[in-house]
Parts: sequence; C-alpha cells; structure tokens
Amino acid sequence: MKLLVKFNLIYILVMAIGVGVSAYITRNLLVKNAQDEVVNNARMLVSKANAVRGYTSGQIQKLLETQMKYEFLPQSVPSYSAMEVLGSLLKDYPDFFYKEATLNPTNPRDRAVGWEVDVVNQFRSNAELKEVVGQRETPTGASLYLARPLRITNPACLQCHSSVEAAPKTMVDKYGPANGFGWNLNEVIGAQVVSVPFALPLKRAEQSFTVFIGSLVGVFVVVGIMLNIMIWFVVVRPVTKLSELADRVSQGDLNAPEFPSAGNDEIGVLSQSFNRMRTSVVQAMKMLES
Amino acid sequence: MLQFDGAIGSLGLRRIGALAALALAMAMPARAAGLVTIVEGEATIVDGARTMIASEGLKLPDDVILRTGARTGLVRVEWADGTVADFGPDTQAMINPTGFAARGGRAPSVYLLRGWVKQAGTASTASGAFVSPRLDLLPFKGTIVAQVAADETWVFAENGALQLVERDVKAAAPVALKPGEVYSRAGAAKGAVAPRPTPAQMQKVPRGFRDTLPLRTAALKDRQVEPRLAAPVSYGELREWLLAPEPTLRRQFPRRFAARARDNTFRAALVEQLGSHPEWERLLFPERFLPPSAPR
Repeated sequence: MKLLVKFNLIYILVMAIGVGVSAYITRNLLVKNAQDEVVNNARMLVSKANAVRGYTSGQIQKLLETQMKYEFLPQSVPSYSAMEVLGSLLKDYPDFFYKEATLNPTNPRDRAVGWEVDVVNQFRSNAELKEVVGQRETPTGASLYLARPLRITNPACLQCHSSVEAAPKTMVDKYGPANGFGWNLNEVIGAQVVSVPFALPLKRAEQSFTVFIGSLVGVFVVVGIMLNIMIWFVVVRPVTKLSELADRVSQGDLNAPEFPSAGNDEIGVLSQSFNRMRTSVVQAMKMLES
Repeated sequence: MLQFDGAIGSLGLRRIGALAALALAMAMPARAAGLVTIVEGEATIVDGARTMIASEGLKLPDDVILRTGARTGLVRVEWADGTVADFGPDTQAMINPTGFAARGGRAPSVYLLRGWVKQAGTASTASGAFVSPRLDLLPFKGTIVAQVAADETWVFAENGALQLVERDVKAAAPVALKPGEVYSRAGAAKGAVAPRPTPAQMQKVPRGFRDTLPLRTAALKDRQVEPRLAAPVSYGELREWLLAPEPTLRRQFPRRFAARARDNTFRAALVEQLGSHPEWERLLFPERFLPPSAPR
C-alpha cells in the first residue's frame, strides 16, 4: 500500500474521531445555548408585559376614570393592555405565545386550562417561587414555557375584582357578575406564561451545529489536501527518484547520476547516504574490473 | 276712574316688584364673571344687541345667552372659585342669570333652557348648579350631567350627592340623589330616581363630557380677548327664550333686547307674535301705556 494511501487512511480515521467528539460536545452546548436564549427572550417578553401593565395602572387608568362611568373601557385594564401590546408584537414572532392564565378571570379568554392550572397552583403553594421554566408535550411536539406568578399587590386592583357591588357598574354590564370577583390582596390569581415550541431552540441549535460541523469538516478536507500535496513533494517524489537511482546502480549502471540532495532533513540525509553508498559501490566495481 | 286707579295701582306694583328684585340682588354677594376656557365647535354668546363668537379667554357678563350648534363638541365656562360648567351640542343656556333666589347662599350659575350641561363644584366650593323650566338643581360639590329636552329631563349624579327641586310641582320636597343615581322625567310626567342611568341615556352623553379636563382659568384669565362679532341674533334664534316659561327672565328681555327691537324685521316679528310675549307691548307701543292725561 502506498505511503499516501496509508497516510490518508490514518488521516481520515483521526478526522472522523475528532469531528465526532467535537460534534457531540458542540451539539449539547448549542442546544443548551439556544434554549437559554429562548428562555431569556421569554423573560424579556414578560418584563415588557409588566412594563405595559404598570404604565396602564399608573398613568392610563386615572385618565379614563370619568369615561368608565359611561362605558367600560378595557384599555384601562392592565391585563388587556399587556395582551394587546404583546399580541401586536408577537405578530412578528409567531413562534412565541403569551397568555395571562388566570384561575378566575373576568374575560373567559384568560382562563387557565389544564397544565396552566398546575403551574398557577405551584405558585399559589410556594410564595418564594418566582419563576418556572419547563417543557411539556403537545400534539405538535415538545413545548418550552416560562411562567411567572400574577400576584395582587396593588389594592387598586380590588376595586374591580373584590365584589360585584364595588366594581364599576359598566364593567359588570360588559362582563357579567359571575367572573373575576373574589380576589384578595397578595393572592396569586394566575400566571404570566410565555410558550415556544421546543422545535424552535432545536432548530436554531441545528442550524448552528450544521454550520460548525460543515466548517470543521471543510477545514479538515482542505488541510488533508494540502498535506497530501506537501507529502508528495517533500517525501514521496524524492523517495521514488532515489529508489529509481538505487535500482540503476544495483543493476550495474555505474553512470547513474548522484541524487541531488538539498537540505538537512531526513530526505537530505538519506540522499547523502545514498550518494556515499553509490560512490563506494562504483569504486568497488571499478577495483574489481581492474 | 277705576281704570285710572288700576293703571296707577299696576304701576305701583311694578315699581314694588322692581324694588324687590333690586333688594334681592343687593342681598346676594356679587358673582364672579364666567370665563370661556374651551371651545370645540361652533358657539355664540348673545349679549343684548351684540352677538359674539365664543372664544377662549372671553369673559362673560351676567345674563348672556350661550348657544351651541348641533356639531359642537364642548364649550366650557369656568368661574374664579374653581367651579365649572361644560355645555354640549344643541344647547341654549344663560350664564349667571339674575333674578333667581339664592339657594344655600348661591344663586344659580346657569339657566338651562335646553340641551346639555355638565357642572362641577370643588371639594371646598359648591357649584351654583342650574335652573331649568322644570328643575332647580341645588348647589352641590360633586359633578353632574344633565339634559333638558322637551320630551325628557334627566340629571345624573356622576360624583357626589345632590338635591333638586321640581319647580312645577306644588310644595315639592327636594329630591335627593346619591352618587351614581339618576333623576329622570318624561315631559311633564312625575320624575323618578333610578340607581343608574339607562344604557340609552349613557349612550347619548356627549363624548366631550366623558373626559376629565384640566382647568384653564389660570392660563386664560389675564388674556385680553377682543370679541369677534357675529350677526345680531334674529327673532327666530331668540324665539325660544322669548317664549320660555320663565317670567323671571322674560321680564328682563324687553330692556335687554330693546336695541334689537329697533330693527324693522325683528320688530315686525315681535309685533306679529305679541300675543305670545305681551311683556314687549310696553316697549313696542309705549303710547298705550301713557297716563290718560298725558299728551298723545
């Protein structure tokens, strides 16, 4: 088997092991990074929602107080504002989904369902719990979610959510007397939930992984080609020429030229040795003939 | 002779009435002039022979008539004591009407002949409230919205409690409204108090009444505003007032609009409808009221 073939076989084996190990380590890292990035984006969404809620309750509500005596305006409700703003924002990010899942909401749209109830109950049973990140299976695949508790800390909220009698009449006209009452101060009444299909971070990780491994393999291939060329010029060609000269001398061709040796590397030393050996053989042959 | 004595007697009674009104006016504290602070849409101010276009910063003397159009959004009048009256579309009201008795130390700030008004007092100062043909809203410190129309009159206690008196009901006791309650009456029928306005009533409230607007007296009180004059009020435009079921106001009109009576068209209309407003006869035909002995 030729030297280059042996070299390439060894090189390919080493490359495969190297790429394989890199792929394993890199993939896990990329999946985790993508997951972290998605979770951080979800945190930012929740913070955005809270900023809108605060703006609504701090600045907008009092401006609409008089109007509310004549017509209930959902724009005065922090939850409505948050849902509207994020709904509009997430049109550009359709993979994300935001909901203020509430156990006893005024608007049935916000009612917590199934697993959301479990998340809310986690917050209700543990006052120290500030955030939950988890995965769940859905009919369309795995889903990653981030949830934070919705706790009533502002007594002003109870104006609309304590009892039917205390609530604005226009609000009761619009939503009825059955929903969204009986809330208490410091009670967790729901959770802000951001959901994203798990396929999203996986897709991002996959994209990064493909680019990385592709680049790595490409670099290995280019390096391999260059090594092959270098070995051909530096080792294989001079050794082949040296071999031809040795054959000629061994067959009695005393006129075979010296091998031009350059450099002090191993090929250079070999060629010097060959030339000395050739000179000795030629002298010996000439002595025998004379 | 009897006719002569009757003429002397009626003259004497009129003098006594005038003196009584003067005494009444002197008994009441001088009222601050209203100041126009917001004008959204068309509105005019009728001050005797002069009609002005309502503009922000215009100071209003007593007894001027404010008229708004169908598309008027809001006209606001503020008083120096912080009380406010907002007027809606299709409204005819008199600002600081004289001749009405004080209630709780305050004379009415507005006579609402027809249309929409939203009035507000302050925490420390009661609004003068309004008088209308059928209602006398007593001074209050909260906020009310009211509509006076031929077929319906209603008053909504948006903030704070208030009382009103039904003027056309003999010996009527004041009707009390708690915050959020509404008093309604259809035409001349008996009024009733409900816990809140009907959806139809709330739907009709002018949009301009639904926002809480800041006071602008401080910014406008020192502004010198040159009144922009409009065409003098015609008989047709003034007719509702001339025929209003309000003797206190109608007594003053011949004096206040005497200059208009010199206009031939206006005078002709007055003469034609004299039967509907006989108080104008003395101005239009003074010769009929000369003593028999006076030269004619």
